[in-house]
Amino acid sequence: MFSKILDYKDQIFLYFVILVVITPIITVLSYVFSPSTHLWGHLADNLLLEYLSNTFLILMFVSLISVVLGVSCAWLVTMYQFPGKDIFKWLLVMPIAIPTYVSAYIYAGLVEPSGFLFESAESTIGLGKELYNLINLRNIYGVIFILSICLYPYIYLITYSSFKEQSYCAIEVGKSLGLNKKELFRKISIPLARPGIIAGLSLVMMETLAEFGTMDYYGVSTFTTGIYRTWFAFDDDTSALHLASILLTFVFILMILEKYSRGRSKYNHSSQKTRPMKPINMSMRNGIYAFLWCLLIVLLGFIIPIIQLFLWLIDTYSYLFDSEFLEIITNTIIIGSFASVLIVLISIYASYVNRSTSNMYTKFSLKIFSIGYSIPGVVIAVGIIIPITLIDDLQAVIFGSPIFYLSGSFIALIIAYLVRFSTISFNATESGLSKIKNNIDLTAKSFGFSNFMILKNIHIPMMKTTVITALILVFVDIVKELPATLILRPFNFDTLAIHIYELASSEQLSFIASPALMLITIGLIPVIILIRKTVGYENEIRD
Amino acid sequence: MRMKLEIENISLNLDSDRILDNLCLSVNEEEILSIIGPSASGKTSLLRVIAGFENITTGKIKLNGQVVDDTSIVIEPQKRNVGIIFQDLALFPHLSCAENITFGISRLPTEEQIQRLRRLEEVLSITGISKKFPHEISGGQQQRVAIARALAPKPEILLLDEPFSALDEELKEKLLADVKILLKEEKITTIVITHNIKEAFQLSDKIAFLNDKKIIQIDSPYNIYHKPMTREIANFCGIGSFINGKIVDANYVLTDLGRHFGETSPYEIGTNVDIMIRPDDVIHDDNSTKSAQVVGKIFHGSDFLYKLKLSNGENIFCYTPSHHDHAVNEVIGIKSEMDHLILFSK
Repeated sequence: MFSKILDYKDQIFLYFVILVVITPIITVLSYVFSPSTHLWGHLADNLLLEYLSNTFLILMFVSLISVVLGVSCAWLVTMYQFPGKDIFKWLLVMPIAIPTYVSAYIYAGLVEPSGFLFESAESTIGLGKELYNLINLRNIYGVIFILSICLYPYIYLITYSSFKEQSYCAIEVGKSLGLNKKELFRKISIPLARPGIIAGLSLVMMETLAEFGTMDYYGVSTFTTGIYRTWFAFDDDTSALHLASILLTFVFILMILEKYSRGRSKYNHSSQKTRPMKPINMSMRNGIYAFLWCLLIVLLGFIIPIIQLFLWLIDTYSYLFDSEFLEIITNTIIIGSFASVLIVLISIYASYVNRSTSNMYTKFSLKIFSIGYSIPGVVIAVGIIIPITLIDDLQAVIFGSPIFYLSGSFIALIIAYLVRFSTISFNATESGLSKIKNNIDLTAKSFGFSNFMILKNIHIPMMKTTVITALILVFVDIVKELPATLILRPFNFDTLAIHIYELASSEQLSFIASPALMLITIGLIPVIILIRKTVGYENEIRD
Repeated sequence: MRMKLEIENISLNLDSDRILDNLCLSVNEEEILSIIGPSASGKTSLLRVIAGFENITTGKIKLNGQVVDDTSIVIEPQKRNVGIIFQDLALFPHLSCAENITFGISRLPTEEQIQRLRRLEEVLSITGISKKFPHEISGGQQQRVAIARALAPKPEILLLDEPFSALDEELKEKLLADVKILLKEEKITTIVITHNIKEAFQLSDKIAFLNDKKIIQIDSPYNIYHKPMTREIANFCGIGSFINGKIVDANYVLTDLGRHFGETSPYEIGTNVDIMIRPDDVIHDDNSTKSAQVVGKIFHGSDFLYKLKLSNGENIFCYTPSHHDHAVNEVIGIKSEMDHLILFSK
């Protein structure tokens, strides 16, 4: 229907948006070959190796541990019946609602004098200090622990769905061919779930490469913290951008590897209706093991952090009503809603262009929207500062002094969010729009409906849920985003994430309770949507 | 009878590919026409051209005597009052069945809408699902809702693009009967695209065979079956085999199966021809002097389909009632019984 409304003139705005999105990426990449500053020599000699080795060690171990945690839980929960299984099924997703850096602050605080582990050790056996020395998380092991326990749900969720889908068609065939339980797992379930596991794993790896808050707080030097420190502590933007370009290259390599590994292995299920399989009953002893394993993961990933936050909240709840805190909430809501509405509107528009055009170049350039999410916030932020400063300088040359400072403005921040989070909303609007088959438009046309009436009576009602979901997902991700906001926010503009970061930096850990619980509550909204889509899905089938 | 649709020498190019080439077709008022043909022959494109979703490259289309597309005058699909049902039905998922059906008549007074809805629901036996959504009803019911939706505004012409292909045979049989009654009652001119010849035979007044971008034959179902103009059409209409024959007389053809009576023009006496023998042309008769050897058989429940070898080595097919159970290699008596000769030159 838009084929006639959207002609080449309407695509001009799309190309403008694409230009805005691609500029920071190109900017960073252009620094791949320019490490010529004085400081770079020092970085290359002393720090680069540390950044590299830390980043890779963390990447490797987090991947390994989260695959083990995610796949084992998904397998237990889909295939077996054991105590608490129906609760674990969705409880295991929960850690995703807690931003990694928040978990990092909480775990650091647990064994410090304000934490409940320290307190209970001190009050019962008088060994608080020894506990603190024993469990020292402020190192690379701590980072690995935090990231694994926070990020495994990505793998759990996707693997869960693929185990669930394959149950009927493949497992029963395997059984009829005489495979035992171990062989079923090794020869059928894992190979079939492999695309899902890899998709989840690549998300975990991207998140790990992008992580800033945890490394920053635990004092582990990786690329993200290195970029930040080089720019803001050493004031060497060229070297920072060079580091960023190296990190970005890694991210691109990872993206290519992921795409390559998927290759043709888009496994489609041959049977159209997947009948959920009856879970196997476990022996008493194995059931208890399964229960304890899931319980341990849920305790570490979700319950312990939440308990600690509530304990801190008891001490600091009055802060909830502080005017400063209210201002921060207002700031968060304003920037979050404004940016998410803008991003979703742009995605809807881009999806419609994509639907109506057959222009290969346009279709290809829309792919830019699918990579932003993999790029670390730090990298995007430094990639935006350079062109924006350039525009400000240009204004100064033309008008004497800049008419509107882009640097330190909301525009810079919103562009960063657009680059990073348009992926989520574009994917959502694309899939929403793809459900409205062209034949639906044509049918409506055959009844004499005009384009506008088709939009009003069919597209808007059908797209409503999609758009709301996209809005929520983008809003939550913006609110949780730390490094890009930290670098690009206007002076003195604090959001919940920034506030938590600053409270933690000044070691006022118990005060993070109110903002962190608020952030987690907001973060729970998309988790609930996610659970209803995947873990809750089978209930719908049964109905 | 008045012409509802006249298509004069149309061609359609899409992305520099020629899809339809100099095609002519006319449909009478209240007629049900099926268009059959191999896949990728241009059937769906023809339908889209009639609906106005594609614009022709050359030629002229008239609907109700009025030009709707002659490449200079092009009436938009919205203004053609053409009903269309796609293979995927394209029911609006966000609307209930009743809302779907009344979608095209939402401008009428509510009273009339309800009246129309009730009537269509009744004829198509879909009462009681008005409030349900398309995903909550069965495939057959969805089909019926789509038909009701398309018929509600009383379109000038109804176009169906293989709408029954997803249904199982038993459901289809009943649905086709209901639909035919409804179309005749409502006096709606209809064009159905199908690849299922049985469907076309059951539903239509006329059948058009489309191949190689044009209409090869347009005729009554009976004639399409018994007087196909090309071997493709003969093959498309069902199983059969070609055997050698020789015209011995103005009314007789001689084959290994015997002498067959029927019209032999335009072939001259003494010409060798191919004659199509369908399974129902051959009757199993133990008293017959002719015989053939069983080389294969398929059990259909009510009947057997035998593949038989004639004495000269040619193969033919034959239906027998299912209590005539013969073993492979057995020799059985047969005789031919044909009213029409389907002849093709060698």
